[in-house]
Amino acid sequence: MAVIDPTIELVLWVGITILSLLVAVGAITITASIYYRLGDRRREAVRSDVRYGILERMSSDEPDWEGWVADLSEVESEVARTELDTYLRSTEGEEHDRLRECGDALGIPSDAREMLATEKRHRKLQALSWLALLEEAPDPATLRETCTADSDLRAAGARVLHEADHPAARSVGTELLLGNGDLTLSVYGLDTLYQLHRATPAPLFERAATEYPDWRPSLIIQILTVLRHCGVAGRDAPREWIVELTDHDLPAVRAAAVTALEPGGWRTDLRETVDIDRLVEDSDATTRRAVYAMLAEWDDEPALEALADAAVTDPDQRARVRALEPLVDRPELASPGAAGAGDDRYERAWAWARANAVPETDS
Amino acid sequence: MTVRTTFLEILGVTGVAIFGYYLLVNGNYLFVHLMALLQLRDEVRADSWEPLYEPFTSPFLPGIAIVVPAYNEAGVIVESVKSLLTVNYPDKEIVVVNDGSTDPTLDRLRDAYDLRPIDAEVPFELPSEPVRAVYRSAEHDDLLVIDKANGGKSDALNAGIWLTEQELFAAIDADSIVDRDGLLEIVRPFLEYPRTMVAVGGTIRVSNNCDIEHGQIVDVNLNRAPLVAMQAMEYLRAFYSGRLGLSRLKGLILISGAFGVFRTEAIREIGGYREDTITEDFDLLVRLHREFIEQDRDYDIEFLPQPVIWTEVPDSLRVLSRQRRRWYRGMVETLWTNRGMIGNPKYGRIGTYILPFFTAAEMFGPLIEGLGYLLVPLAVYFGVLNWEFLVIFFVVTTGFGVFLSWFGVYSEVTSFRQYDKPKQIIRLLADGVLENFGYRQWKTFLAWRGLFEYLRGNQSWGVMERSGFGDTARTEADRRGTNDDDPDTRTYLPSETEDPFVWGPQRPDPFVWGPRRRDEFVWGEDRRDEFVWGEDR
Repeated sequence: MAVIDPTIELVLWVGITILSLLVAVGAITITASIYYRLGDRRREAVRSDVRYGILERMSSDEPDWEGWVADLSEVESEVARTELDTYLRSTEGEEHDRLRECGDALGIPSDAREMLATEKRHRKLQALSWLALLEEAPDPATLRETCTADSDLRAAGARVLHEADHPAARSVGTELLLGNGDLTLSVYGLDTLYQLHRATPAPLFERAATEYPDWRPSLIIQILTVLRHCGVAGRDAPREWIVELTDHDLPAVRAAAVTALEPGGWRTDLRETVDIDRLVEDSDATTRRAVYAMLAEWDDEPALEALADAAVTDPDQRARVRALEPLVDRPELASPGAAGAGDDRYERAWAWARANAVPETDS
Repeated sequence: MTVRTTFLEILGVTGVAIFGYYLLVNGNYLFVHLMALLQLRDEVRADSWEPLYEPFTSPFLPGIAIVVPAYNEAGVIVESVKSLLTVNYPDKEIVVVNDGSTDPTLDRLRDAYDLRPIDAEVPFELPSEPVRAVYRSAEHDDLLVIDKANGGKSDALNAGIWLTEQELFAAIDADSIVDRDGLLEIVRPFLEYPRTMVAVGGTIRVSNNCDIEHGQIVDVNLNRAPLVAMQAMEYLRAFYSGRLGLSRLKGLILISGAFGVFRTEAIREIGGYREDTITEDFDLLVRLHREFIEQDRDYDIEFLPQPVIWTEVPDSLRVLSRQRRRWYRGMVETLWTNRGMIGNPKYGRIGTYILPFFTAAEMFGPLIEGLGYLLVPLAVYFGVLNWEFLVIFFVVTTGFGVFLSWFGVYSEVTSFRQYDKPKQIIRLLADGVLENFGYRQWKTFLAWRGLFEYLRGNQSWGVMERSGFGDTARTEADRRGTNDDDPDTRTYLPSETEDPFVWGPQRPDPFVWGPRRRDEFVWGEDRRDEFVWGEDR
């Protein structure tokens, strides 16, 4: 038997190894492509019938979902789930209730509860998404056990309770979302927290007032943003902590705190607590711009006067414009003749603020 | 020892060194690709469930200014703006910057959108050429048009960034197509990390030959021209492997100028886009890293594979050559400008790993590969290296190159499947092989040429030509015979940016950043004018 030169043997092995890798990657890629494409075709072939079946029964008094589902093939059942997902997101009232019955007939709630018990994160999220769509809330204790690993799971768990209108939705949902304050909210979490508290934000004010010192700055900013958009909180809702945050070390937190104070301007006691003189001298221009937006929102005489003063003294021209914009309708407060005469930068800022005031559009 | 012996020894050592260099660089490429796979797996899983809320109605979305630099875009600007106005986003402002166009770009905008001048001088200093006037549309109060003296793409972008009051801005090429919900997707990281997120990049894909309706891609096709199809494969590799992997490693150093969203204030703080660079997008991100690290500030930069912008790539060797040479010159320039960061522990993993790897792979990689094509066969010819070594060299470099390219295609098949037909996949896989026989070697030649041009001080952008989507439109440049090698006609382009940072082994062009294509766009009118931005630099 001939002996192979070691160098050639090495060449062969290298070649065989790389070729094997290529064959494996290429074969897997092509096979997967064909497999997915065939799946697409199978699904598309039945989609219109399935869609028709759902829509027809959605408006029927006796939909007989069980009978319809029993006749579905595996592919049709899969397509029915994706169609149902779409329709559940865009309907409400009676139609929505009918579709939920369809979900029951397809066995989605029981499947979702099983999926929730798995260790796979994305399966849990899929399960929670279904349960939220079908307004089927699991036991809060289960959510506490299974939905704390990360921001998305927490948000999805809280959302299920909210969608199902569970009596403990606000308390348990908020608990899930905020955790120990060591995570930030996902976008879903941000929206869910807002949905939980938009009508009655006082409990969130109270919770934040006691817990914010333990939160990460990003979470503080997010909570302040949510509170900014929630409805009017009662007079008892604590806001002193927000006023304290206007003196935070981080400019982004200060700006968010100021922004969160915007809707509280109707409370004279709150306004008296806020040290406007300090705020308009903040070292950060972005924060000062937020302060001017807050004062514009408050829109009372002291606020407008503070804006007029700031417009003269602010070293940042962009902030100066922001201070002047709310004064366009009160030119007697802001005209260069009244305050900044001779200051070319002021006059330019004022002219721009007036000219750039967005007119009513035709559309 | 004779001169011949010394020469041959040097030749042999060089050949082995080149081989070792390849093993090292490709090992790192493999590592980045594996990171990309992990990231892609996470992204696909995240995409397998849909949160139960309507982003469009969310009160939390930050305002975005879409800054669109425009130079001589009369043929397309109205449709471009119309398309951008339809992008799903509740709080957006379209800022078109007419960069001293010599054609009726401004008139077209004025007529189409009932522009009214803001009757005042801009009150703050803009780091750009003088602004002649600012207009706001009477029909769409979210449309602002800045008319300024010509200064180039960076200059135009800076004017828009400094004038807008929006918290974020998106730099988008005028003739690219953004997924309708692309902005809603790409702002997510800014909401999740409100204190630290400063920039997010999206994916660029090739639009040549795709079907478009109402400013949106409705059917994704692969162009029959091999040159275009190879670029489609390169873009896949660049975004699904390179950028995703770097993002996983917290080391993203490039967001394509065609589609990136930035925190406006952060970019103003670092001085905006530099006007004396030819790859302003790469320069911007490296500078962002540098400045924020030097200021010891927390920051995040992220890449998302799903929001997509579609753009047209060159379909002729001449234009592609110009594009890639320019990208190469820009890369060398930016790396040279920021050479103090390379290998410097002060800059964390960007300094100690990302930039050194990048420099070795993207800047020196194609040069050394080009040398290898000359020296290794020479060494074999003179008997310094044996033929087995030559075979190993070829098998390892080519085989590994194909392997990594196929990785990108595999990622496409198992993730978002924009190319969903098996024929398309087979075509992409074939291109991953074919590019190694001629195309890849040609790109190493372009890298050398780009290096010489850089050393000669060539700062031209070249003329970009448009062929249109699937038709045979010709460009003004063709008609006039304009060529960027001709100093009398040399010009530079606006946006053409994109570039896949095509990481691949050899990767000669990996980095497809920089200008790119522009071609006339489907939305409407024929755009045969050449795309020139500003004047010869």
